[in-house]
Amino acid sequence: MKKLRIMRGREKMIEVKNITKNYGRKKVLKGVSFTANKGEITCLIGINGVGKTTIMNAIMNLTPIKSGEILIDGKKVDKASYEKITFIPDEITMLQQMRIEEAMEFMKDFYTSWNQKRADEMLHFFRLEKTDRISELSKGNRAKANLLLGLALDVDYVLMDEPFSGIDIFSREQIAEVFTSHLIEERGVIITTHEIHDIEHLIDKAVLLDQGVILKEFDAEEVREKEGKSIVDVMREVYRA
Amino acid sequence: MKNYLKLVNFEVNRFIKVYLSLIGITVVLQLVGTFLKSKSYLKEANWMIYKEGVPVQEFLEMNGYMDLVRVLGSWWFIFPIIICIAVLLIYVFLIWYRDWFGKSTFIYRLLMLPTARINIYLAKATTIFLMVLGLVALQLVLLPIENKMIDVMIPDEFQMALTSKEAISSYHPLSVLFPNYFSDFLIYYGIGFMVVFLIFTAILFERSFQVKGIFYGIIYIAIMMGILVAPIFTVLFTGKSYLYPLELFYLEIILGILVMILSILISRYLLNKKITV
Amino acid sequence: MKKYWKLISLTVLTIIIIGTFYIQSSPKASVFSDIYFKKQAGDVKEIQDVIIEGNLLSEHHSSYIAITNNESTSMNRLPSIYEQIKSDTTPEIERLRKEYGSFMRGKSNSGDFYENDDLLIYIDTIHSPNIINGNANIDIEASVLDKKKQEKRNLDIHFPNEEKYDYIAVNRVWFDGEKIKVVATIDKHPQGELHVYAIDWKTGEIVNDELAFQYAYESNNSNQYTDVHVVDSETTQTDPFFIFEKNTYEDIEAEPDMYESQVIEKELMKYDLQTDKIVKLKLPNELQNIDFPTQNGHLLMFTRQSEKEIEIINYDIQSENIASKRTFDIAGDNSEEAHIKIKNGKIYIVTPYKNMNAEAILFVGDSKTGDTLYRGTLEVDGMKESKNYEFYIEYLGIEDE
Repeated sequence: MKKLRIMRGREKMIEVKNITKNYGRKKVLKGVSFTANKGEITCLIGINGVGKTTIMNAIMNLTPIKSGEILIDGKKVDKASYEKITFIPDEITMLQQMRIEEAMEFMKDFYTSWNQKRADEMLHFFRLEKTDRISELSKGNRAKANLLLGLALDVDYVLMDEPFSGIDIFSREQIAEVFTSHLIEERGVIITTHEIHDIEHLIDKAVLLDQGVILKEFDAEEVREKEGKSIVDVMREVYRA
Repeated sequence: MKNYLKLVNFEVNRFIKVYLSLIGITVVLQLVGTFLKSKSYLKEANWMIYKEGVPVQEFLEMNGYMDLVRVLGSWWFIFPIIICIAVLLIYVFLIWYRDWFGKSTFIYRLLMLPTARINIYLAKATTIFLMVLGLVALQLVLLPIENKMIDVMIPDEFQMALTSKEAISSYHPLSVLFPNYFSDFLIYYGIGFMVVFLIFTAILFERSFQVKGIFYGIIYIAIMMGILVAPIFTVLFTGKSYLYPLELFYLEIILGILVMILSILISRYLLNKKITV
Repeated sequence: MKKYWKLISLTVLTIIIIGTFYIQSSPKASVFSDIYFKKQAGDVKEIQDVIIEGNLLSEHHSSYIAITNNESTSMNRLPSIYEQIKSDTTPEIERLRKEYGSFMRGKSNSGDFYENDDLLIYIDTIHSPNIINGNANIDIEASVLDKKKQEKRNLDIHFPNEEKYDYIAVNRVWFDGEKIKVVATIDKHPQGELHVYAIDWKTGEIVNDELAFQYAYESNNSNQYTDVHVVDSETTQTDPFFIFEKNTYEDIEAEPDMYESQVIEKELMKYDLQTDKIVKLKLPNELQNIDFPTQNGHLLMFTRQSEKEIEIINYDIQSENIASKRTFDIAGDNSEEAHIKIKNGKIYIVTPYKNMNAEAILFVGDSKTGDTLYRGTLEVDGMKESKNYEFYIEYLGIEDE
């Protein structure tokens, strides 16, 4: 994995540089910086309300930031970026009354990066019915459909906000399986979670957040190899300090 | 451009069910109303003339003729129009807020489309305009049909042959909705659409700055209105006009267009830089 | 494409329907298009500039109708906004605007103009309510354009005692080569005054203030009151004089609590703008009781209506004689007063009422020779219930070319 990254060069990454953001008087991000490389899974870790989702929104230009800069492959986000990066929020971003096939039609209509073959593949893998209405899906199936709509885009970067929260155990396993598949391989992934267990073994890089600041950013493999610590071990050290 | 059209199509389809019910309500109520009004006129005429022995001429002097104006003034006719106007007015707001509120996170999807975000704004505005004009067209089709119904139901000697256009112009509230001149039509609906742009921009202010944004939006609308009425108020207060009336008229048109362009530009800025999901 | 059928059909239908509506929708009303004048004699050209407006009443419908160019339009349809704005001026002012564009800016339609080869003079009085004492603030706006030098000068004019006046109406502006003469009626409740001011055209200074006449227009206890009005003239720019009519009335109790005003004195005065002299016109007896003449140079035109005819009497104020007398036969059963307009040596008459039985006549005659130039009857066709209609003519106007 590491070799791959070096070969692709410095340009292929998401750079978050010293971003700040306030909600009214409250400072939610106080100078957050980190990078997420293509080909790696970067995990933003922190309890609820520390600004993980806000960072995601900021990367996608879905919310303004007060200062700082966000670059994707060295460029600021513009409309063309949405063919290169996609965001899968914790709720499905489609109209509730749509059928899954209509949702796919919509995506196909607007995105040139839409890969119908891959969508069909995932539909089969998740055992979703094309004709089901989104509003009628179970919570687990909604999360799967949500994932489908995001991952069927041939994009370099995928942002996922809490993909496992509140989902039954079987769905969880199915989703986790996706992370090890070719659906994720080669892409840069940023994932947020407040609960690390399900994906600890998948993570290349961890970014520990608290109160709008980054406490620690580290390479999971390196820490494992050199210090013999798991991510959870590091978290314990950092958060208890 | 292509994405804009796709978005318009999408927005129209999203509202089509409600829209078709509006059309349905209007058609049914107005046609039923016309039928019932004609029927009750006939009943009255029959009773008076055959049972009471009132001569036709005298009956006409007392009750008047049957014509479309009688229908236009009735609730059967006005109620659906009021409903349509009210629903569209509400939808001016709902067309935005439905993407944020409730379970929906659809605004994420809209903002993440690989297209200029102003297309979302323009597509929503176009949808409102199309819906409004579509209902105007519906009414223009319904009027001659209603007129024909009266013509078929009522014997010639009891009816006043008004064309639907004459009926409209003799019933004042309708002549506002369907002005007699195309130039007036452009002015009235131009003002209407400008107001839609203003409201849209105010909504985006609110969506960008929340509570503070409501004030920004109100201030924005106030300033734009101020710009529009300033030349007229100057003339009214000073009693003098540097510009000749027609020049003032053209100035107002230009100002109106500028206000629309400004609304679009500000909205583009807000959508690109300030909007928040 | 198939996906877009709803959008496409909605758009196309809407455009076609609204488009058709406005293509068909000419402002001429079809039901009323059958109201016109049927020629009995003369030339139809003569009524081309005639505008007649009136109310057509039938059953529960009423329409305000205008007949221009012998075609009727329902005035229930107002003209378009554009037309209303465009027509908010007279052809004369339109011409001045075209010729003296920059001078005319900021000049209101209500102002008075005087024009000769060298100068264009504008005077207007602007009354604005004074917030402090509730009285009107009166400003006099005056400017002079020197046509040759293309020089514009604003004059700062203050009439003597103007702060005491409630209202100033300018009746006429005239220029004698040095001074601007302004004829103005002044309201100083309950009194009226007719003033002739002489103004230095270069400085705006009031050189002379001639009180031509002073009168009480509201009776205090004597039941008597007077009013004065300046006679309309077609030749204001050239006449070195003006005529004013002063009438004294008395309220007489005709029945208990019912008062009628009666003319007790009536005089026509000629005011010479060059010498500021006032002369009373000695009218022959037969003209004594005819109101509101119109003036054209030295001729005063009086009109008198009887049931069957209208008489025009031209009185020459120079020779103090009746210059000509013409009688126009209007026939028909008309007890109500006809509308009469005199313009450019022509008299236009229309009788005011039409129904199934009564005829309304439009008549155009040469006011000097008495020749009939046009005569026609009003026809109201094409209404199903034509038996019961009534048409009241309320306005007769002649369009300026």
